[in-house]
Amino acid sequence: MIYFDNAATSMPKSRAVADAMASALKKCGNSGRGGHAFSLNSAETVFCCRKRLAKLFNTRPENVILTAGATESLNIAIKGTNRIGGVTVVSSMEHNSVMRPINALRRNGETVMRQFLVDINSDALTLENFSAVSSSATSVVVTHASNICGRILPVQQLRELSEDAVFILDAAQTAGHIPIDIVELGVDIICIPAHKGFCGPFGVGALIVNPYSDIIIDPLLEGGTGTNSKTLEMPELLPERLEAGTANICGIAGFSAALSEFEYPENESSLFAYLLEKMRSCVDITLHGAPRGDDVSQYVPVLLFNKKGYDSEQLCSLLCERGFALRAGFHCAPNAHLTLGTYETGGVRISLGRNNTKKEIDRFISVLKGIK
Amino acid sequence: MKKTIVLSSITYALKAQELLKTNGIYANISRSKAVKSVRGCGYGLSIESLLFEKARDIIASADIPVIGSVDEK
Repeated sequence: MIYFDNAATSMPKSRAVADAMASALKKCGNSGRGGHAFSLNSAETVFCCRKRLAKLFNTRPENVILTAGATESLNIAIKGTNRIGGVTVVSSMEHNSVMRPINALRRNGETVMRQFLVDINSDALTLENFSAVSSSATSVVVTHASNICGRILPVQQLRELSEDAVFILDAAQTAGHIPIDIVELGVDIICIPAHKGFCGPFGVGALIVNPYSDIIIDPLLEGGTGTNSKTLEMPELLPERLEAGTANICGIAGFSAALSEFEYPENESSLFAYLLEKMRSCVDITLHGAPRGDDVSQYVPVLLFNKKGYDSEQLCSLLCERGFALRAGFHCAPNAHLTLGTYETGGVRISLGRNNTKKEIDRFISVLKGIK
Repeated sequence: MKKTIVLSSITYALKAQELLKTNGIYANISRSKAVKSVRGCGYGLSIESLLFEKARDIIASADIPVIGSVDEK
């Protein structure tokens, strides 16, 4: 099976990740709960993971909150910074991990949601659309790159246009693919998973806070933190304020191991450009939201397509039977499909990872063309 | 004679321990009775009394919040 579903999760995970997780299961106690070697070993594992992420994203270790994944990070960020009477602005390319928490707030009368249209071919028009709805924004929540077509949004400029709002960035599709400096971008919070671009395990992620941001994030969960046990209030300081209960130490150990061997991929862009060129040579293939020319610098390697005469799920099944793992349908992002004009049909998504090769793409194109 | 600097959490205790180590001061993570007396459960750094003031200044200069300090018996 050739794996082209890296936007869902990266495959394969490394041996080091698996070993670290197994070792943690045997050697780690409960982090932050005791003074014995097992607990301190666990605490050091967790702190090491925080330090590695802090270095990558340019923040402090204590500003790295370890979570169960990007979805939990986004829920904490969105709900924990929302103030009643606020206005939340989102892009038209958001995943349900952003849309559903905001919709829940909206349904309860806790925020008003406004959406701006992303113009895939023009950042200038995207920024214009944003300006039209963002004047009274108290929160802005946007994806860094679309999970269905890979288009990177002009985040820094969006931030400059909404300086007074809390700015939350969903970096599920960019973290581990492109360098992200939270200070340079100027956003308040970045939400990431471990298991996608960083090739870490499932069930772990992080909420990363800008060291210069003065936002207060209310906890989504309250519970034990191993400190200040005599008070019924959660600690005021990060990260413990947002980390109630026992952490996923095995997952964090695996994440940390993935980060220890992590390097930004060098060939993803060229491989994506190669895929794009080959897909364009298929006469019965329609690409949705893809780069117009050869410049792929505003994209992570995700491509959405349909084949004439085939339903997306049907085509994906045929490709699966022929040894290719892709994903069809709506990819938990209905508004993004609406934006790209694929709301009725859905699409087939091919997403590359660091282990894919030109040879695999050649085989894929040959099989895709052969489906009649 | 030792003193314990009490930090707000294990995260800050580890951060402070690492910072002190880079400055040549070795401190052990402590969860002693003395730490508990400051604010329920918590973590501290056990340091030789002679190095206490220097350590406290290093930690403060890095904006690491210190909850208190206690003498160890």
